[in-house]
Order: sequence, then C-alpha cells, then structure tokens
Amino acid sequence: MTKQTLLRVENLHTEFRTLFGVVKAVRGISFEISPGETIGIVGESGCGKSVTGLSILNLIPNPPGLITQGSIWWEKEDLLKIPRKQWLDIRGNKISMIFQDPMSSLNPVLTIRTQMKEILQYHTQKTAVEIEAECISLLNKVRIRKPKEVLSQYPHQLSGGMRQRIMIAIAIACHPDLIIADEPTTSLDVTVQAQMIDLLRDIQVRTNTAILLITHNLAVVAGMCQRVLVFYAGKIVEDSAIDDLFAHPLHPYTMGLLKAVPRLTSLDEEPLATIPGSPPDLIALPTGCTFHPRCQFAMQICAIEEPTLQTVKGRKVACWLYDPRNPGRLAE
Amino acid sequence: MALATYLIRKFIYIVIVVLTVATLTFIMAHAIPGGPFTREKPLPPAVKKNIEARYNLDKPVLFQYFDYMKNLIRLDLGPSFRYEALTVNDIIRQKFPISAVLGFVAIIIALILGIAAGTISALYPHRWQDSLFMFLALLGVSIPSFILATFLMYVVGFKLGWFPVAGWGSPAHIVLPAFTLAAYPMAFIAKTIRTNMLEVLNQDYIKVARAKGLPERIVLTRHAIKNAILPVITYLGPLVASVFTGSFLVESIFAIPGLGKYFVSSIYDRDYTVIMGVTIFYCVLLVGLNFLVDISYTFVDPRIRIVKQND
Repeated sequence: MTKQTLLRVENLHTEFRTLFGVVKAVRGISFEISPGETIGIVGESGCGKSVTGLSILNLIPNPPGLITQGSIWWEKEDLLKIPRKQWLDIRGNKISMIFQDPMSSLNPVLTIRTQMKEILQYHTQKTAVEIEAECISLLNKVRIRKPKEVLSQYPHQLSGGMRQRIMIAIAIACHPDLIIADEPTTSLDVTVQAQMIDLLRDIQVRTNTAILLITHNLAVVAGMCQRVLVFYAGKIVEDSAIDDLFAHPLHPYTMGLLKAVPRLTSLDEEPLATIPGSPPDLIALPTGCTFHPRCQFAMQICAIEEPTLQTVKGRKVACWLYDPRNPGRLAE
Repeated sequence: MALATYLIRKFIYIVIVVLTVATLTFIMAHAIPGGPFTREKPLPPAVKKNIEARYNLDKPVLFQYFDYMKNLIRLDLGPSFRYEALTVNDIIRQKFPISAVLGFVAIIIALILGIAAGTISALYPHRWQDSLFMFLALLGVSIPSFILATFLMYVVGFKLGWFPVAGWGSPAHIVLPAFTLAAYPMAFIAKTIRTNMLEVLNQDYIKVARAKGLPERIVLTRHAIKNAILPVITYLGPLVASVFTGSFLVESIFAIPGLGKYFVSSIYDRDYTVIMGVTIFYCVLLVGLNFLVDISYTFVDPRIRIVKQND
C-alpha cells in the first residue's frame, strides 16, 4: 500500500512570550496524517494539543505566540513559509477547524446565514442562489431540522448541540481535505457528545476527509481514531495504533491515563485512579524526561536526559524504559 | 403587542420627566433674585406695573405656574420678555437649526475619528500608534473645552489662519467649534472602542472567522467592529447630551448665534419664558433621543429583542 501523506508536521516548536517567562507550549512535535485518516491527540490541559492545532492553521495569536522552529508540509509546500494571501486559500478551504466551545464560536450579532455564506463566498465561485441552496443542504447534512428557519436565526436562539452542528456544517462547507477538531465535544452534554461523534464519523465515511481530533476524552478517541498521539508537556510521548494503545500502553503516562478512566464495573468503594502530581510548569520544565517527577518507574537517567521517540514493535514511544541504550529495557 | 405597551409606557415616562423638569425650572428661574424688568436705573413704578400686569408678573406665583403649564400643554412656550417681537417658539425655530448643525457635525466627527482611532489602537496594542492615540485621548478627556477652544482659535484660527476664528455663515466656520465640542466624546469613544476591540479580538468567533480563511478586512469590519460598537451605542444618549450642553459654552466662545448662546444670555436677562422654554425643549430632545438609542440598540444586538418579547 503506497501511503501518501496529506500533512506532515516536522519538529514544530511554538512558544508564548509572557511577562512571567517563555511558555514552551509545543517542543518539537513531528507527525503525519494520510488522506482519510483519523488521528487523535490526547493529553492533559496545557500539554500543547490545542496549540498544535492552531499552529497548523497559523492561528497562534502573535504576540505573544510564535512558531519558532519546524515546518508544516502540505501539498509539497511548507505552510510556515508561504505568504499571508495563500493562507487564506488554505484556511477553511483545504484545512478547516472545529473549536471547543460552540457557545462562543459563533458571532452573536450575525445570523447563521451570514456566518455560513461567507465561507462559501470566499472559497467558491457559486452564485448567491447556489450558496443559499448549499447552506440548506449543509444543514441537512448535519441533521438540522427546518434549515431555512435556522439560517435566519441568531446563535442565542439555538442550543449548544445545534450550534456545534452548525460549526461542523461550516467546517465541511468547502470539502476540506483535513478537519482539525479541537475538543469538539467537551462542552456538550454526554448525549449530544455521542451524536456529534456519530455525525463526524458519518461525514468522514462519506467524504473521506482526514480528521485530527484533539481531545482529552479517551472514549471519544476510541470511538473514532485509527491512531493516537499522546502529548505530554509539548511533546509526543507515545504514537500508536488505537487497539495497541488500549491493549498495551507503553509509556507510563499513557498507562496512568487509561487507569484514570472511570469504569461502570468498578466498585463504589474503589477510588478513581489518578496520576500523582500535576502537569509541569511550561515555563520551568523539569530536567530530563518531563514526566519523571510523576513517574513510578523513574530511573536515574530520567532526571538527567530527555528520552527521544524510539520505534518499539512498530509503535513509537519516548521513554527510557524502552530505549535501546537501556541495558535493562523492557521487551514491551 | 409587547412593543405597543413598551411605547406607551415610554411615552408616559417622557411626559412625567418633562413636567417635572418644567416645574423645577420654573421654581429655579423664579428663585433667582431680580426679574426680567429689573434695571440698574429703575423704571418708573407706573410703567413697571403696567408691564408686569401685561405678563401676569403681578399675579401670585402659583397662578403664573398654572398659567404657564396650561400654555405648555398647548405647546405654546409664551412670549420672550427681552425680545418683545419674538415668542419663545420663534426663537427655538430660528436658532435651533444652527445649534443642530453644529452638534450634528460634532457628533459625526466624534464617532468617525473616535471609532477609527480606537480600532487602530486595538490593532497595534502598545505600539506607537496606540501610544499616540491614547495620549491624544487622555488630552481629549482632560482638557476643558474653553481651553481647547481658545487654543484652537489662537493656533489654528489666528496663527495658521486655516479657519475663521469665530462667527457663523460658511462651512469653514463650523470646523473649530465642532472640533472643540467633539474632543471629549471622541476621546471617550476611542478609549471605549479600544478596550472593547481588544476584548472582541480575543473572542473565539474571531478565531473562527480567521479559520474560515476570511481576509482580515472582513474579519474586522463584519465580525469585530459591530460587537465592539455596541457599548458606544449606549453612550450615544449621553454623547448627544454632552454635545448639546457643551454647545452652550462653545457657542458663546465662538460667537455662534445658536440656541445655546440665547439660553446663556436669557439667564442673565431673567427672561423666564426663554429659560424655561429652551430647558424644556432640550429636555424633550434628550429624552426623545435616548428613547431612539434604546430602540436602535435592539437593531444592532439581536439578543436584546428576545428579552423584550419575553418581558
């Protein structure tokens, strides 16, 4: 199978220069997405997953944010080197984005029609009549009833679930090759979350769009993704196929994440497992492996040198436990 | 239906406000020592008595009050004591257009330059553009209009000779007084817009608009400015009030024959009917404009409408 690449992120570094110091949000991320593939990015708050998504679309607010290193390859072009004008052709058209909070993602003073129409106006040659028809068909696709009425409404007249459906409709309007979904279900009710996941999966099957799903919800990842990138403190610590990750997590952090998922079968008295400690301060990172202060397997080397991503049985993990230089390394 | 009750309620409110203002003005005008016919050289008692009888000034104050209110309801503001040939209605009809033109130009200047300066400041926060405009805004809110007026008259009018120093008649005459009047609201608007704009530019929907691939021009004009302008619309009522009351002073300084100048001189003259007539006129004008602002707010912010319907 010749695997072509849709998007390749190489050694991406993004930082924010604040009054308190330089926040190193993303510290050398590399990954690839193939057409039609769904990749999940999981990690705690502040691990750099959202910043990675925003960096791909060059939406990092500058100042204070700045992409300091790396490249983002898209159709043989480095997106970080193209002129501003060309960006406008990519955003919303080739790569679109769905954001976390549908309550604040729609402009309160504009009708849904205005907010849907504009993306088609700028990226297609369609006439006004065609655009109107397209908006209605898009709303049908995201299963919104009475689309004609909804088009004339304002965001405050719609529920959170409906607003997120509209955001999805806007994201798929121009048939993008890649959708970056940044926590698309986080602020919704559980039942609505399930509907959104169904919807996204359905759209993906029909259109073969690649999706980069950013979330901290492992259930969402399990339901949608083929591959998962586990982020910790701005780096990928594990990159694995979905089934392998759930069956045999390699990185101690991934193990902790999986253990911390509450289960219906657990007994009432059993406390929920947590990862001890808290996410590291991105201004003053720990030496060596950034996870070592919280890691139950930490060795001497872990506090001295940061491990690199190593391929272990077709998966990638950044942990000294699996490093070939470690004489007592784990086979798996 | 809801709108009808809202309008009726608003109308009753306006009537109460106007009657209260009329009463208070009546009391205050009559409380000032002296009267319209008090002169340094007293009039012969017989003449004075005749005149006072003609204007009902010899009657009890309470009678004068009800007499005035009766005429007020018929929209008759009475004759001027000082300018015998003119009624107060005539004075307002002749002089208000001048004040209105001046005020209108000042408001337009304040809105256009204020919004532009505030937006530019927000787009380049803490850079030189921002520092420059915010320094000017600080001057604008802190320099009293009579100082700014004399400064503009001296530097721009007299030294540079770009615009006439005072008077009325040509468009060039409007520039300096309008700018003087506009300075404070312009500075206030610029500061408000800057703050709002900075907040709005951080909102998710701006990020979404950019993620759609819209040009920055559209992101600003369609998505950002409309949201940033909302609080300025609330300010339009007080803005109009400050421009009109400010014009009393500015018209006197620039020798503009507008209603403001008449109002000021009517107080010196104890021209009761003019004092009251002009006060009531401005009162109705301001309450009415505030009412329009209330209504216009619902057009800009769709969220307001729902609240009223549910009310």
